[in-house]
Amino acid sequence: MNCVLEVRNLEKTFRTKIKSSGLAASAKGLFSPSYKSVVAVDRISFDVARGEIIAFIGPNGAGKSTTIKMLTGILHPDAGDISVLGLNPHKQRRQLSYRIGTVFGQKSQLWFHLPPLDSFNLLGDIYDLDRTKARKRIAFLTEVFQIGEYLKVPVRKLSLGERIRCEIAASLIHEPEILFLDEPTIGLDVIVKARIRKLIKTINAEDQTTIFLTSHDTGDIGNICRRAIVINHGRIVWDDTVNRMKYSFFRKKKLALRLASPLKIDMPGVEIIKTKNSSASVEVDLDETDLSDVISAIMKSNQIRDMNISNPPLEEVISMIYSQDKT
Amino acid sequence: MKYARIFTISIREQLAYLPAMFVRNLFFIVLFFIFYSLWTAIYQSRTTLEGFTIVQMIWYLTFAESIELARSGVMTQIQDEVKDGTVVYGLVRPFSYIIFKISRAMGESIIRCLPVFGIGFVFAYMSVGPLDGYLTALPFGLLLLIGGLLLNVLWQVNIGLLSFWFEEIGPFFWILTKLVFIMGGLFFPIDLYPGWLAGIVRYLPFAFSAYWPAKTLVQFNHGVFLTGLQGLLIYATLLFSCSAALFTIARKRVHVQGG
Repeated sequence: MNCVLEVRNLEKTFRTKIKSSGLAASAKGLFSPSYKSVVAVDRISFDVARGEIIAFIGPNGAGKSTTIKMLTGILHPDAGDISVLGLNPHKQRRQLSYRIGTVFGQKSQLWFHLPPLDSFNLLGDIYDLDRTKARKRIAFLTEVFQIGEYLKVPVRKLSLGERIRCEIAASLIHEPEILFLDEPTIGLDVIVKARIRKLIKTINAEDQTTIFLTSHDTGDIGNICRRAIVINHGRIVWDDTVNRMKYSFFRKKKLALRLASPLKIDMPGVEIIKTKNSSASVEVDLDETDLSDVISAIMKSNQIRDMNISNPPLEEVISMIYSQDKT
Repeated sequence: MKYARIFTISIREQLAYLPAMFVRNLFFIVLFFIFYSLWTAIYQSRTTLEGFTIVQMIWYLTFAESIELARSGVMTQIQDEVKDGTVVYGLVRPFSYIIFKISRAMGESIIRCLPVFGIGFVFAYMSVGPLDGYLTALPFGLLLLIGGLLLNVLWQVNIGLLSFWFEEIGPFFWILTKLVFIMGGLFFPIDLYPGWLAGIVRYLPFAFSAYWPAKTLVQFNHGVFLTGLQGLLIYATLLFSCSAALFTIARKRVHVQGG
């Protein structure tokens, strides 16, 4: 495997000041402040191959942002090793910055009162691209992201969706080998979300850019990523394909049925969730019974007019992983 | 090259506000009028004051004020970025955060200076008439004016970086502005102080923000200009080195958590 990212036993602990309530405690705190240690990242290890689109997910405070900041060289790890494109991010931050791109939801890289084209040109200079190369790259990204009509409109006049497209395009000016995307679709409507997801996939396919995505939106994870790493309380609690995540964590299927007559079934592992006239919704626990046995049993006593078998939504799977880790 | 582009792009961004800035700065006509009334009263019984004529005095003040009132918002920007943690995002780009901030703030300052400078010029010309040797002195005065703006930016960057250690940096800035008022020659030329005090204050860093650029314009000679230029270079180098050192130390304190 051609790894672009190798992380071994990465650790980061923060020391935060404790502020007690009350005037006396505040005065005491001035002379002898007390601190508590918070383990943000706890000995995590993983690899990412070139060209992969990987979801790095977890609840708030799980350690996602801290990990990304260590991967991009912003934060120094307390222990462990990181190699990003063969470089040590903290020691070779400047070198690495030419080879990675970042889109942090909280921080725009576009100049608010100027058109995106000005920011693109500036980024071309910041990344030391020669003018011809920068122009070609901007033309390519303009076409891929379909932002030609916004290039000369001040950023403040763009909608959020248009701005995010420009933000992602801006992060790709220097053809980074890895793109770190932190919540790229937050606040967008469903149509724009779908468009952004498609663009991310296009860039991955066209440039072989490795995408390292953090998002709370399960749509982003399910639609873009093949693999997911779930982090909670600073530890990796899942690292495998998104599909396997569904099957491993949720051994249940949902059957939505439209029948000739009302459903009557009594089998271990089968629970009728809802019935209305001749329609029914059933949950089957695959650890107790096979789906085919359930369908056969229904067909023996009834006539199935329509049927839909569905997987649990990814959201539920992820919630389950978080809650299992808590226990 | 990249910093030159940041500087020009900052100018372009500020130009979007230029008409609004002109309107806002109309207030300075009131300020200049108060100065004019005050100094006309002082000059009633004399023609010069420590070598300054009333014409030179009014031109001096409008020039000195242009530098001081053109302050950029870089200190607040840095403070906000440190407080909300976004300062770290500058670290993933191949540029120096400090030079980026200085380049951007210089673009802001120069554009902010234009309306005050223009209003001051019109006011001084209409109230006391033309200044002898203005055109000869102008290129030298403008060069030091840019230097004065740079010093102000560097002070602000240094104070802004103190946000890494202090939750509220307002008091530091308050002290600085008062020092510039008193010892920078902002309200009157330093020459008006008693000789021993003027001898000290003249070479403090605050004097190179306003006094030396304004004096170069109204009492131009190469000696004044060169003294102003040397002082600016020395203090700008010191303040820049200080900000670079502060940022290097501050970076080690960065432990932004969250997300």
